[in-house]
Amino acid sequence: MRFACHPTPQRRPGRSRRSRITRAAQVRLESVRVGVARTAATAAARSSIQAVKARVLVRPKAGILDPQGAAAERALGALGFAGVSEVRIGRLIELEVTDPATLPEMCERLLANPLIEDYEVLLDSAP
Amino acid sequence: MKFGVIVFPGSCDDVDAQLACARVADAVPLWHADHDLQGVDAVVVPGGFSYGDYLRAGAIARFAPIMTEVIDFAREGGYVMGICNGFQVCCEAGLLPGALLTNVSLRFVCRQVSLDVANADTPFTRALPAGRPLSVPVKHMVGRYYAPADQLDRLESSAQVVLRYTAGQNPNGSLHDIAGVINEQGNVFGLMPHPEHAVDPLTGSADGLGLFVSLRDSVSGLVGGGR
Repeated sequence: MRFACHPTPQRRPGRSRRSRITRAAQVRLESVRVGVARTAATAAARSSIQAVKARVLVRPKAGILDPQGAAAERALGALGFAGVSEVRIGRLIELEVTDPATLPEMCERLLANPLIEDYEVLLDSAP
Repeated sequence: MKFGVIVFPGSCDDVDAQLACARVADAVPLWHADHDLQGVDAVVVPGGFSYGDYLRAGAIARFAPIMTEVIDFAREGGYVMGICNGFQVCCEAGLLPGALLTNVSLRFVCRQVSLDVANADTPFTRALPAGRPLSVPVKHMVGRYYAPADQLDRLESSAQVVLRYTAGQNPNGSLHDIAGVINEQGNVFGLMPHPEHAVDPLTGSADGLGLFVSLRDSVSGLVGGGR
């Protein structure tokens, strides 16, 4: 059930054989494509497999008491800011990944605890 | 009968846990980076701040090499007791239901608490004196037990809540005053209070020793009884 969110690890995340093979395959692909091109061209090709910037937002699940949020809310009120409610405090994780498809698994297995936290993955769309 | 006590980087109650185990049986340390449980009969995952408690308490430790072995050991019915940070590690590893959240007070609490034994018929509580609360210290920042409502109902109906803070003494805002829970199979037990710090009257209470005695007797029964 909920435990399925925490499968038995075969390896540490980010060091899986699959991601290594994927990276190796990509590098091989690049080198084939570039062929005997000069160093400058190789460098340009390498940039095409560059890591993508991503942000992972982790929030306490709705309904879970968030005393930090409540304390910040009270403090805002004390500063004179009226009409502030529903303050919730989570976590922002910034990272760079070569294979963004692995991000949900990273979140499920390590970056968030799905029992108590929701997560959202935002990819930096800039080239 | 041999206890194994895991030592993570950042563990700080591993020595007391070993000393407590050594009062009732043999005890050896188990290094986090090893894949060897050294043939122990029961594993204690001790308190502390494993891997700095970075990300979430227990989140990194749960992937330590030794934990792969502990998870296999538990799945095969081996006895595992997670204390404080060890409880958090066991929850993160999926060995125990629920999760531990930051105390409602947002403060680190360090004090003696009174615990009611909600289920005295477990391998971890059988040797405890009947009908008397235990006096054991807590010391934690992230000890608020949480489980979703449906899971909480199942825990209650199947008597998986083993220890509760005595009414009015809940130090962290745990749901249902829960201080310790056991898994469905009854071989993995986690608790926030520190029984290993209450094994000698010198420190005010020896009530914690009963948990270690229970575990030893359960293992011995298992071995002696030929299963």
